[in-house]
Amino acid sequence: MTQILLNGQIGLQSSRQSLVAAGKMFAATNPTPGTAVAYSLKTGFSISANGLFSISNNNPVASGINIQLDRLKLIQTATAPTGTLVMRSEVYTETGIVVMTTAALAVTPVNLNPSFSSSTQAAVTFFSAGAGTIPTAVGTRRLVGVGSLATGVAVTHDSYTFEFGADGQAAGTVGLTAARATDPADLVTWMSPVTIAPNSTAWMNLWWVTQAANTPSFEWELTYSEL
Amino acid sequence: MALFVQTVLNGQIGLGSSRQQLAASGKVYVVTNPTPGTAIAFANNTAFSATANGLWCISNQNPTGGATIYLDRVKLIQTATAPANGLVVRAECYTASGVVALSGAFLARTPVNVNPGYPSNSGGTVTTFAAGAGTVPATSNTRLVGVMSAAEGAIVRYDSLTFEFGADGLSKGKVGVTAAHAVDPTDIVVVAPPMSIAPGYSGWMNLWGVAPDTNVPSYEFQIQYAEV
Repeated sequence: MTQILLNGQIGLQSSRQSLVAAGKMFAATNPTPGTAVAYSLKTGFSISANGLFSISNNNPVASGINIQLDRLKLIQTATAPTGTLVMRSEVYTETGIVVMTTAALAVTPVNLNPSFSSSTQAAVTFFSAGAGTIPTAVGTRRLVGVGSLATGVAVTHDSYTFEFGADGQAAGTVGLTAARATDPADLVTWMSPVTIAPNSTAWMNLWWVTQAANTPSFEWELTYSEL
Repeated sequence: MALFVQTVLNGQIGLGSSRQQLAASGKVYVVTNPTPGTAIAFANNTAFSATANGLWCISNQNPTGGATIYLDRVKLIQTATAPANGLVVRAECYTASGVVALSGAFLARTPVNVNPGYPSNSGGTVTTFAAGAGTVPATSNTRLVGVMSAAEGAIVRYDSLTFEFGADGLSKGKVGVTAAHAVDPTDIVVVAPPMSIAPGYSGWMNLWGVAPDTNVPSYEFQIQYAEV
């Protein structure tokens, strides 16, 4: 097997920098920075109606090329929903190709290294003017991650970051003596390390307890590696 | 897989994070409560007990010389009505030789491999609390390997507790605020020992608090471990 050497150096940089240098990292974003996309007022768990994004690995099984989720950032750019306390999410994997439907937007990822092409076998679909619908199972479905982010009251321009298998310890939050009102926050939570094997799919559902008025709207950036 | 087989992913060595490489190699398993959003009642235990505060237990049924189980993270989400008057959550971790499982208020849980390219055939047998705290049976060669303390303060519905078992880097602290938080939930992160469960051994975690009263805590959970 061919080991990748970066100018004769092995493993000197951070994991993410090494992956980028090797042309293995991609990003998928909302089309226009500063312009959020409406999601949906989802206040309860649903396995099929709370689709945030899906990502399928169309590499052939024989290639062995996995897709590894890295980070997802959501930016609450537009008017924030009222009454929120905790943002909930789940990640599922499934053997076979599953693509989120209905309120869905296909997104074209780009390689983070400009000297590599943006050719990827990942098919990325995000919510669009609503929450996506997760189709009926086509293979073996597994619940591999249950996320919980203590947002408290949401404020316009909050950001919410989900770390998929980062090294080190998780970031926490500090509950305040009174709910915040106008001061935006950058909140971070951890998720499972999500691997998408060839000819498999992962997706993430999102809901928010107990949002009342105003539909949440997000900009997003999803980074992943493919190797 | 034996310890001395190096995993090479399509010619790449060590490019991903530790957790991502483990997942890519099919070594990471998770155990969750069955239904996201629906918590399971634990118990209002307010004092240490070696046997009556069982939260979860994992026994490694791999053959001797086989894979060891390494705890990674445990997350608890206080989804339902929170107990009143909490200040600090306490926990202990133990290991013991032989196969140990919770009894009493418990349920067996099925771990899943996070990598869909691998089967979910973990050698870990997992039991967790269910409608109460589990009972830890009498065992031999028991070792207390971790004592944890999470300064949760007043418990608020939707608080979460994450226990980090041996993660690299600095431990996370938590700032106490000028008055008890009342409605604003918090995500608390606590260090726990690097806990390994060798084949033929078991590990478990007990949980209690100072000094919750009134309501019984209820948790959703995610237990994450590597088997390598």
